[in-house]
Amino acid sequence: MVLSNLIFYIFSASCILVYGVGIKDLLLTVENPKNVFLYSVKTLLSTICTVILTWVISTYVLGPKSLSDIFPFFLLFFALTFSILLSFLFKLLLKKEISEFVLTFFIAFLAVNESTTLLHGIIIAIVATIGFYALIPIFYAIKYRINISLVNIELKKAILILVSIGIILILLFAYNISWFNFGVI
Amino acid sequence: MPTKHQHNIYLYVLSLLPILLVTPARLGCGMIIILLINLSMILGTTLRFFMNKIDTGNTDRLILLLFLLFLTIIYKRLLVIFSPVLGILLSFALYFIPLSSLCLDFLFSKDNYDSPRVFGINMLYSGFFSLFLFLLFILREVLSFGSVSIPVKTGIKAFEFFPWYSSFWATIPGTFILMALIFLIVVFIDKQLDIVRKINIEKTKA
Repeated sequence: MVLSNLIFYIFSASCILVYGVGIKDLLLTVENPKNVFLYSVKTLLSTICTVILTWVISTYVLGPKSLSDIFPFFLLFFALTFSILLSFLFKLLLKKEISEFVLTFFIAFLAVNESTTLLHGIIIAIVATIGFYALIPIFYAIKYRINISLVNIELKKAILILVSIGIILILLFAYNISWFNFGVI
Repeated sequence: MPTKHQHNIYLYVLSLLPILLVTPARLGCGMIIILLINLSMILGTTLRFFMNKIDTGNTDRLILLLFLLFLTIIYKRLLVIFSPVLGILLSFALYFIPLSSLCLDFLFSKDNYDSPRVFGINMLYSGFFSLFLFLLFILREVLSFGSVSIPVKTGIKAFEFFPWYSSFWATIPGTFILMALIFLIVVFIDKQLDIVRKINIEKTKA
């Protein structure tokens, strides 16, 4: 179960590239990456805790009363709590300012929405977070290559990064499409 | 070097990307998303305007977030009553709107909220985003399915203009490449307008 979810959520339906969950954060972090490992640890811990609590409440408390539609409120509450708690702990112990919230919220939302069991939800949260932080070196390399290229237009970084993402996605999906059928190209 | 204005446009368009990627490429779905963006903006501005008159301390951001989430949940319930198919199709895309910087950037800013002019400013921005999204959805649908659609009770009703066989622009990599092409066109037009502006300035000086 772990392996099939890993391959699905990193390659076929990558949280960042297909759902577009953290694209803005990714492209902004790549400009100036600092403390990436600590950010990844913090996001991992806070998403796992949020997913566990929200899933339990949504299934055992809200589910029997057919109110499971309002789980985003609890998700917001838990995501804020754990984000603030963990950034406070990091500041106390390691004296570094590490805080982010939007990625935690959306990955936890995806995990609670699409999971069938609690273990499945935790696996989705872990795999999506690792997928996000594993893409940073790739996009750093693409940005470096764009900077030293000889193209000469304004906003060339924006245009060429978006085209690179499109081509990466075509490569990821290429084996799964029947190319010579009408309707694709 | 991109100017500050161009950098801001880049960030706002990037925050539109999750909405575009998860929604089906039909104009009917796009209309529902545009309606929610405008509702969030106008009701959020009203709430922030009245909260400014009371002293709420540091909790006004939390109250705004909770209010926008509440609005999205109610909107989704009403959508399910109107058309269950659309409610299932768009259930994931609707939750991207309350937390994207489309609305939050304007609702969390510290200035402007003393006078009623803020309504005009915010609705101008949200009108601009709505127009941009509308044109983008029409472009994607015409280029990939050759039709235009509206939302109805049973889902989407599409009016086909011509038969068309290529659906690349409605896919996810197609969206990225379409955004890159739109940036290219905007940069080109901006450069031409810059030349016109420089000629005008030289004429007024001479």
